[in-house]
Amino acid sequence: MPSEAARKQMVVDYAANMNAGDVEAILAMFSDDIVFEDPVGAPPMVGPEALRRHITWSVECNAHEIPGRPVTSMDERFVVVPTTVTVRIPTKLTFNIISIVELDEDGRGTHVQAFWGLTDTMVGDGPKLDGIAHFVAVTEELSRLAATKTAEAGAAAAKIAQATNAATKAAENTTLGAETAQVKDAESKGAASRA
Amino acid sequence: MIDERTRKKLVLEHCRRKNAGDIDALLEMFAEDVVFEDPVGSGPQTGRDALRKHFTDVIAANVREETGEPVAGQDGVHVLVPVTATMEYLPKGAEYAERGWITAPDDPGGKRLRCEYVLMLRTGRGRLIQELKAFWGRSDIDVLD
Repeated sequence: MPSEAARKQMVVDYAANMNAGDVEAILAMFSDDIVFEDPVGAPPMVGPEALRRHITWSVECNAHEIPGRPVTSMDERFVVVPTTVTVRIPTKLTFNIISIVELDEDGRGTHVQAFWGLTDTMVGDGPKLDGIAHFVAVTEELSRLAATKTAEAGAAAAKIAQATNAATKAAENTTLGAETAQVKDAESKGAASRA
Repeated sequence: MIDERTRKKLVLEHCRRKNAGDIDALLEMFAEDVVFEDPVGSGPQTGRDALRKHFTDVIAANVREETGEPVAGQDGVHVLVPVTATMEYLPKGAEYAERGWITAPDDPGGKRLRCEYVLMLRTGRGRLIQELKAFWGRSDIDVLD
């Protein structure tokens, strides 16, 4: 059975492999009968192929994981870790997660339960939203994120992200003078139509 | 089903009542047939009476719990929070030493225990706690001078 130190190292290694985008290294950390719940409450992913799709998608979303202090259990089976996860495609989302990982005798994960709720999800870097506004923003962004899980939708989302980036850059490059000229132009047109 | 914010308030309130040493108010939060395991791997126990014994011991040791950020499951029932608990060595320390989880100090007088754990609650009917699990191992508990 894996020692407490080995179990704690497992979740640290998982985060390092995710941050390095190493899908194969992550898959090697789990057993063939892996059951992966992310989030708990959604249908579990069962088996290595389902896990491969999920991890590949996470890497494509630029998932970055910062693990907190792991704790274990007295039965040589569990490690539990709070983690802050950020994804950047299609939008920046930050998740506060607590994961319960059950390991087999060889120290490979057999069951993962990633607990996170809508109230543990933050959208972008903007001001912290609350109540309904937060709920609406999170559900919209999560549905966009889920849409990237199919290849076609993923390509479309990437194009949108590119276009958004280009538009943002173009907007940044617009000189204040040009904006002022546009405003004056609009004002004079308004004055003309009023006259 | 209990909404996420209510579950988060519930787990923080649980720790607040424990810190306040109000055992009756604390037990009111639990279902009569609650199942609890503290630490996970020590074997689950059932019922409020068994839980009263457990809480009486930690409250007698003046337990102080500091909570981190709570996290809610999208299953409508679970809530988890990282906790740092400190308490006087006795009475729990003697039991833990006997089970081989800590090394007993030569003189337990004035010694304290510090435990880092993740608390998981499962809620149910009447917003009562149906299940409590405390995840910690030998490497998560220290004897302090």
